[in-house]
Amino acid sequence: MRFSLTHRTVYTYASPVHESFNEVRLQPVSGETQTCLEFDLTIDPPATVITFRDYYGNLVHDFGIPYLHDHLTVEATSDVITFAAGDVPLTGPRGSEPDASPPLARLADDPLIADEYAEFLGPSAYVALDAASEELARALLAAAPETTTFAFLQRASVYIRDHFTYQLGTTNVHSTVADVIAGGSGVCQDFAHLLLSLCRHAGLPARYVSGYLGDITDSGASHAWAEAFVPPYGWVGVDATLGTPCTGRHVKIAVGRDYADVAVVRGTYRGGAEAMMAVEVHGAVRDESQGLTMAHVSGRDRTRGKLIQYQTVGAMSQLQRLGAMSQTLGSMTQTLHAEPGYLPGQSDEADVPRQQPQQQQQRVTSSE
Amino acid sequence: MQPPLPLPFEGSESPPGSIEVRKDAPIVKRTPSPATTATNPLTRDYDTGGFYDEMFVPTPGGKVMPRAHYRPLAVQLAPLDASDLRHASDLANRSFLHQGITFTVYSDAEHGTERIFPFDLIPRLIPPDEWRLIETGLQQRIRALNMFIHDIYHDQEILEDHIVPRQLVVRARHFRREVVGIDVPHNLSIHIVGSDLVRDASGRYLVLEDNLRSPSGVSYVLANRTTMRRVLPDWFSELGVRSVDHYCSQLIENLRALSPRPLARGSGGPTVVLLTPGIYNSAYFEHAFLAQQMGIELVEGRDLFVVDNRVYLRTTRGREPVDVIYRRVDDEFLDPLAFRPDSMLGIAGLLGAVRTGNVALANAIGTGVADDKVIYHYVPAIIRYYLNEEPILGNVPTYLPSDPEQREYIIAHAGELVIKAANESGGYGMLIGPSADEEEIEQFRARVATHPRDYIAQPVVPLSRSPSFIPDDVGDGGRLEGRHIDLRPYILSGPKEIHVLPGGLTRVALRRGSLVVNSSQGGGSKDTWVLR
Repeated sequence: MRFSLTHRTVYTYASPVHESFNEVRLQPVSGETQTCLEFDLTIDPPATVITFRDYYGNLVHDFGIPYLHDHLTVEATSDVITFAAGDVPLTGPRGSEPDASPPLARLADDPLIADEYAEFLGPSAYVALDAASEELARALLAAAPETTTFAFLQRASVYIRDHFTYQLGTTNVHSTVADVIAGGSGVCQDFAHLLLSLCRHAGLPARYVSGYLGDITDSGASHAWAEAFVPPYGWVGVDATLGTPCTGRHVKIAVGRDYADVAVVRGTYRGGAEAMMAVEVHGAVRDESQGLTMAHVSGRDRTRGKLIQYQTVGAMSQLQRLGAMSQTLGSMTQTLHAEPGYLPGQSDEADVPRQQPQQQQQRVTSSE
Repeated sequence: MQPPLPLPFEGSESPPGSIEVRKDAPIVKRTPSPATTATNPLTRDYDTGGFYDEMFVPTPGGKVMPRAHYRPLAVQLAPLDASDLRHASDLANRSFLHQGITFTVYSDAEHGTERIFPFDLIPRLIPPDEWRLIETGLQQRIRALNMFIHDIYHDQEILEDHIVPRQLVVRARHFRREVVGIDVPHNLSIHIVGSDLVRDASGRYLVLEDNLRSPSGVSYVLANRTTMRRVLPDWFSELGVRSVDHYCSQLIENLRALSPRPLARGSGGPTVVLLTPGIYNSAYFEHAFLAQQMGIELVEGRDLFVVDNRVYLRTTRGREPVDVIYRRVDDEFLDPLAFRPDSMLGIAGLLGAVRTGNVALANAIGTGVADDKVIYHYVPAIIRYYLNEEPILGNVPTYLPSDPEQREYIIAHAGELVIKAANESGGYGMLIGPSADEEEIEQFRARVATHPRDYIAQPVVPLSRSPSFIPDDVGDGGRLEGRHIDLRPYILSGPKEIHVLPGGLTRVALRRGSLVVNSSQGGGSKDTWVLR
């Protein structure tokens, strides 16, 4: 399927702020399951943007606005083709193909897998691998001890869809897997984290994916799911919110160990003002048919971390001459998170950015 | 910016209350007398205790005699008695106190946190052949570790070849995925190192830790030497002691060589600054001292800012571009955007400036990955892999609990081993089996079992000993007694060569029988003389 996507984030500050530094992960990947034909990033006020690939291969746009400003708008538009129709799985066995994945127990015992995918097997910031999720994983495994890897992945995602309630507002952007299990409800971000912990407990490498459901036309196309490493298919996408494998509707932006690695906007700024954040995401189907096939992408990505682009926008040097730079007021540092948790059809309600007050005392670091 | 500090060591004006020391009037001077090691009450009852002693070897008659390279020192010591050494020792310690050469102990609420680093008068001597071994061994090690760090943050060939398990690297606490792919000047990530060496029962030098992040203590090396020269100038007379005075000039030269724009600012050269976490840091004295010695600005994070991926210093004359930052702030506090968002010690956007090559950091971000005590176990293999050479300096044998067999061994023998947290430094988070009680041992057993990746275990190394002057608790007597020591040489790794400062910090476990030399755990230091 082919989609046009618009992702607009607007921060408005009660009084001007400065030294705003931000990293955004908004550019859909081009790879085995999709290709991004066009991507545009607009930032207002204008800024110098550098582009690089992070450790996980995601494209990151990094920019700073040193001078005083009272709003920040980040708008990304992209044109993406996914290599499947809306009802066809993008990865894993297709259609009536038999499931060729190995027994999960064998995969979990493979020391080469354990070493190569260590960071997708261990605990991470949101996926603590605690006792509660371990118990769930054990129960799932006990129900089908001879399961293949792919069947386990499917069963785990269906289990989450059936036993947890999708509900906005019961969790927030900082909720952990333990919170979700205790509360019994959450949004797509929480379900993805829960699926990650079930897979990792079972010895199946799994990673977090942020993206869009590309055919959601109203606000709220932002979505999150998980991928697990299932030989011989490679990374197989599974949506725990829908309880199905990922299809041509799923447009992938970035991958990581969990949400912390792929946050859409990560930023800090100085200035005492509170920020109001508004997010609008739109998807639109451009063309139902797509005839493109991509060459298979393989091998380790050697370009990660390298600077790809360095663009300077002229407006800034002018502002500097006006002396805006010399004004340095306040001393507040804040972290902004854009929440990706929206279900198709529901609007994004009250997503209030959390203000993180500056530490009053100077931190002392240890040294040897 | 910090106000300039008074010159701590040199200068014509002494701070109020300091000791006047005239260079022409040595404090302790006696005409050499016929007294010898065997008759002088200071050394008459000296016992090497079965350890490797730096100065003395036991004779068949139950007495001791000095090793050949210590003989000129023994001659100087022979006519002295305990009151002479007490006097000199008091002068030295008071001199440190008046100069404000102190460090901070974080865990002691009762006695305050500012301490002077206790100083022991008897120097540690290293003969030229031993030094050559240390020097070449460390050069080899740093060369290999630099290649390792470059590889880990680029192609990861050593992981693909399964020399070091990938899982140990990617789960290392100081592995910084944020800098993967970033190129650093001259492919040099490690610029300043303070390795810890120990000697075992046979006198063999072994590397105990590599300390590749921001090792501290070099200011004590320089201060100890200055103090020794003032208090006991005669002791230097018969011995060719190599100078350590060039450390700061070598350091600033190496730092300048990292600048992305070496010819900038006319003839002024690149701007180098020293970034400190601030006055509460345990090594703040050293930060101020080094900045002052190198003639560079001592700055905190709030003195710097980033525009268009360039770092600038706020000055009264406006902003000034910064090319090189000698940072004494840990990685995770450097940039609130890339690392801990709550850090107030860093500079937002700094990583962008590093990524675009507009500023160089010493040491580079991410060197801590090779500092991990689990990775330490693999350093000999790392040397063989990159250099195709046998390691010149050995490691202390290390058991990894991540291996099930070794874990069982560690749990069974916890009472005989040293167990260390993989990512702590300064002697925190450590168990010394033979001197711990059953409860502590049990705690560590449990921790090793539940967090195998976070611990290592090593056999207890019977550290070599060196005589220390130990004053009596009552009266004005005292004698030389053996105390366990280690050695921290300082290494400056530049684009042209790897320079090992001929000297170093010899740390002493001043408590009788103690094997822990860390300053935070009741250790002291002594001057280290590398002989010509």
